[in-house]
Amino acid sequence: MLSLLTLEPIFKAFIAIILSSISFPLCGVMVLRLDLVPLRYALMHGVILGGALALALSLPTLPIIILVNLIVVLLIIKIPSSNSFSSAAAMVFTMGLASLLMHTFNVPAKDSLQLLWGSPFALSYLDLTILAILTITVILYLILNFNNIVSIFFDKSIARSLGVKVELNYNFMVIIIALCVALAMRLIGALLIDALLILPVLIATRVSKATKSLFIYSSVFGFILSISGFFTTLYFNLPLSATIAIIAVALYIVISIIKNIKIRNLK
Amino acid sequence: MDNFLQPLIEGTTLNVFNGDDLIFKSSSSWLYPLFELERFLKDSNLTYSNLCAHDTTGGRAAAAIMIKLNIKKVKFNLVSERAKELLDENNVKLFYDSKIDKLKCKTEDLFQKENNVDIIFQKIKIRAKQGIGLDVNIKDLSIGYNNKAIYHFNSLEIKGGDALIIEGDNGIGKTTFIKTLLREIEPINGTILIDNKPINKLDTKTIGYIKQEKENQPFPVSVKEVVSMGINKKLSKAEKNYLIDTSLRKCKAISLIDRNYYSLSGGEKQKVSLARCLCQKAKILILDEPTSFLDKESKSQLITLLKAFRNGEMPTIIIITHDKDLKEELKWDTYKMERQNA
Repeated sequence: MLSLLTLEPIFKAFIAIILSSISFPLCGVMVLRLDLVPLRYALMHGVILGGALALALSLPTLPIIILVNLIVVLLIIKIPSSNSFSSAAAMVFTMGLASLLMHTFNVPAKDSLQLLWGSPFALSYLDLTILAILTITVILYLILNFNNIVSIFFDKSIARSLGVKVELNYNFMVIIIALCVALAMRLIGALLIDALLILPVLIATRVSKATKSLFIYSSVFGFILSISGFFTTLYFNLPLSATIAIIAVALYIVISIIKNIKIRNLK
Repeated sequence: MDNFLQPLIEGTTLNVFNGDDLIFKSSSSWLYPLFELERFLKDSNLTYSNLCAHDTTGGRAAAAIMIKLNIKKVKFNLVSERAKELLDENNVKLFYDSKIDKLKCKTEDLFQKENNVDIIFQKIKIRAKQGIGLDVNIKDLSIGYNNKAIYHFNSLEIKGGDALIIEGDNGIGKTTFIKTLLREIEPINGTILIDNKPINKLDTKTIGYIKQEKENQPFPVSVKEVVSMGINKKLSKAEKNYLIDTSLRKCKAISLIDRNYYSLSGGEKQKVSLARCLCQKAKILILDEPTSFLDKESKSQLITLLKAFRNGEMPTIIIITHDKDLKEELKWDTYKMERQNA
């Protein structure tokens, strides 16, 4: 089976899976700790719009998706309203605009909606480079800024009283998440984005007592899920994102059961 | 003759013995030798059971400090009757060369009617600026949102190291006041000076903020991570660990260091939050309804810790509370925010 890695699309997918398994769960921690789940949905819709735009204008998909998502993020940050409301408005707007574009430019909906499933074996070197940059950026940001991030997660007022630039960090994290969602859509698709973004974090939450260990365990579980999912996919010829999602949910259930048994025994 | 009764060498203003062993001497003036002694005793971490002091002059303030420092016998070259009364009441054996009714100084007048040694001790430390707390001066301050004032302070002054309880009905503007102090919102009018500086010129980490917490979150953060949030990044790893360790020990929360903060009880959380402010070396401490979700025992532990802060590091403390028990227990000055006409 390892001989398959000599094939370029599979090798690129393998590298992408390793990089994303480390960085996506780290972004997932930010999504959950900053309560940005609605924003993530808005960004997923932004990807559909970006995909429609790229297809309509025959432009490279990933850069356009990233650009559209950054615009969506900026609008959400700048509109004076709660993030949930702005995110909901952004969702409706991006989907509406995507539909209009598809209609106006005769974009086959099937092509645009391909993004819902992702295409890990069709990544370009540009996609991989962007993914590598995101991974390095996220890791460096976390290492260099850990105490500030913990204080923002803990309480924004307390973080401000400690002199932390809360808005700057928040906006930076939101931009990172926007990039992450754009890449994740390309890699594993909208429907299963949570398999790498959220589920490893939920599993890590069951075994962590500290924010540091939450980040580390999230990445470790993301890595385990991705690698096992990747090779299971190759062996059984299954769709990658669905395989990862099924393994992630199974692992979450197993860990939750073990945790509950432990708690019951302690009582 | 006991060693402490021997005359002081010229230039020396205070000698302190443990039994017959000289352990401390000073040549500073006013009450500073006694503050130096307090620091010496604190830093030495030893328990001295038979402390005897020889001081040049003793007024009521010096007597109170000596009582607080657990000095058993004292000799003053010159003592006031007011100091003698306080020492006699607290069973400190007094020797003196000469005695007068009162010392001719402001400090002596200030405490002539005060018998509570703790209060004299706190106030004299504030007067001598011995705590880490900073002065807070508020003048003609209007606070509110969107340029609409909801409360106006004519004048409010808290001396560095002093403490103030702020009370008032719901919706009167207590939280808005905290947000203004924390610079989350700008004042509509007027000034807030801390250590004679506008609040936007303050060093970061000057203010330690402890807010009421209602909900636990499902995501973990360890006690160590909470306490180290405000720590000076320039310190070495060993220094950081020492500071975290000592802060948690002082707040009697060292056993919680590896626990998830959100798994703690309300009382434990407050101890950890105080340790966070200690680690941060906050010079002003703001507590928002600190006893809201505490049981009786946790409340009592918090009060003990607050009193220890007040007597030890002495940050300036501002407490917003509805809790009458807390107010009665602490007996600190109170400012009542009352309804104002438009």
